[in-house]
Amino acid sequence: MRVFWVVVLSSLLMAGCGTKVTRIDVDETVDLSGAWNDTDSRLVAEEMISDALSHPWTSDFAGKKGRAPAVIVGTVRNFSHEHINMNTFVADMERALVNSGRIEFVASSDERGEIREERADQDLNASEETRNEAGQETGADFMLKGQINTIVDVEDDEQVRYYQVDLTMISLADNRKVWLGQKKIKKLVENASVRY
Amino acid sequence: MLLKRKTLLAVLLSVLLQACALHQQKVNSLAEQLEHSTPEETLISLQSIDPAGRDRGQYLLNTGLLKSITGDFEGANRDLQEAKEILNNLQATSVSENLGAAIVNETLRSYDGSASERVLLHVLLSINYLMLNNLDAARVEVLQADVVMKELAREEKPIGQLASAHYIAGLIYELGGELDDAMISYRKAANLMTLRNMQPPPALQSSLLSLSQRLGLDEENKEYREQFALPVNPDTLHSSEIIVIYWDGVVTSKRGNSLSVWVPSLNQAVSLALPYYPPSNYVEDHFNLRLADQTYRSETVEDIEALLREDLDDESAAIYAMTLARMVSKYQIVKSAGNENDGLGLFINIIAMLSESADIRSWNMLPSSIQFARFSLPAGEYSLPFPHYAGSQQAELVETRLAVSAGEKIVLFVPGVSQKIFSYTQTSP
Repeated sequence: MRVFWVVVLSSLLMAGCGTKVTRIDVDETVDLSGAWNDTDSRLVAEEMISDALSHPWTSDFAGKKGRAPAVIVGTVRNFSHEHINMNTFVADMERALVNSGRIEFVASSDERGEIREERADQDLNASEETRNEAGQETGADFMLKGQINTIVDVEDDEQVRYYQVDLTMISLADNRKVWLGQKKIKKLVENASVRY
Repeated sequence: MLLKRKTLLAVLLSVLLQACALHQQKVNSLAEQLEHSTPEETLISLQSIDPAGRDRGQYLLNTGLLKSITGDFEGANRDLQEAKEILNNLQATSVSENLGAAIVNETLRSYDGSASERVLLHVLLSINYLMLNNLDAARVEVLQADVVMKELAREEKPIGQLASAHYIAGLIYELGGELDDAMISYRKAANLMTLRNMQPPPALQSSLLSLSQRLGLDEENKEYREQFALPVNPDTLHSSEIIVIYWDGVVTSKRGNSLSVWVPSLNQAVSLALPYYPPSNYVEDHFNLRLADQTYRSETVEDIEALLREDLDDESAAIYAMTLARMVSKYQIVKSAGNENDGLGLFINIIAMLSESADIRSWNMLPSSIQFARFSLPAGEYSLPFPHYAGSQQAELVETRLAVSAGEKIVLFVPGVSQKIFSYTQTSP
């Protein structure tokens, strides 16, 4: 009898466990579901940009023009099986490129609209000494485009997730592809077949 | 003292279980009234119910669906994504919930959705993302639906294999210019319909014909031309293509069959309760769109009424086995209580009977059928029968007119119960 009541009450109360929060370092890798996470985003961005900068297209451009190339981030599309926040991935790449000091970044087409609105407002309202004129924008020399693709293989409670990130740096002057970067990640995700 | 504590616990448990059963009956009643009420009113009533933690998945599926058909696609996706996470986490077998089901009843399990419901969740999410003009996110959902269907795939029967999921996948690939993948999905949709003895409707026939032609699959195209008697589409350079996704009706809710009998040889009353779907009263209706002096009619690709019955049939062996195990465990519990005290035995027997309850939870606000229509239309402005909302953060009322430009592909989502039309226009061909 006692066993019956213990089991029944445990079953009813099982869901009532409290929430526990532990602060961890942002660089610490925590894989919970096996899905694309902050570590994947940061590592892929850093490794791919380091690969991009190790190729001669930046020095070739600087040699010819006498200045660092200006890059704009175009579309990086998510063709994967997961909803990936492309904004954090793109921001990670921008940060790695700008911090290298070998590339200048210009605002993306989405950001430009707001900046132009502000400039138009300055034209009307800001003092002459502080006003920024229209028509002084830096044009981009290269556009960074890319995509994330996945292949997922499933068998029972196991999944193999293969991610492939492809990035391309394209010269805006002549459409030449000056750098092609690729990073692959493969994860084996074993889902529990029994839970408490 | 011990007897009093046990009695109190038994009464408490009985009250709790009765409250759960009443709550589920209220949800079922709301679903049954959905066709005669408005989804907005149903959503308010549903949100006034505080579901038990184990019913949260079902609750979110229904609130997500109601938000979708009222045009709150952002809110719907929040609910449906949470439901997806809950359902995914529940796919592992729970030891404690199985024990609860073996001793008390099946409603002590967390609601984890039937096979078809798990796929339909992705179908609805992909439609929502499309209506929010986010083709990439819609594509993610059709890929996830494909993974779930692969997980569920079995050789002997097509449990959890949905033609509508493949058709929507084909549509999304096609809108994204991935014609090879679109063709594969359309073929899968047609194969599944044939497997379920359904004739592919004109929308699917038209998709197969048009894509096989565009991909240069001459032999296949010839076969389709011989198989389908479809009129030749007008020049698509000067016309646009309209694809209608129509949801008709509201699916039947599950009911419970209970039986309690006094078994003299056991000196106990024995009871059992099993879920079932009553015969469907659904009468198929179609969306007739009259534009430019022509009527275009949606046709069924997915019979959800049949799918959910297929799912329950598939689960029935496990349900019967658990019911039998529960009968044995309740018999033992009542017997041991009776050995201790006759009065306690009788009381526990009553509690055991009262606690026997069928699991009648389901995603019961789904439509009865998912239908599609696909046709070409010359550029121009057309009157629609319902208010038209263009996709945006919160669907925004345009009017009852639809502006169509040459070369465009427009997807109309028409949930019959809300009598609204939501649209997605392909921004680049």
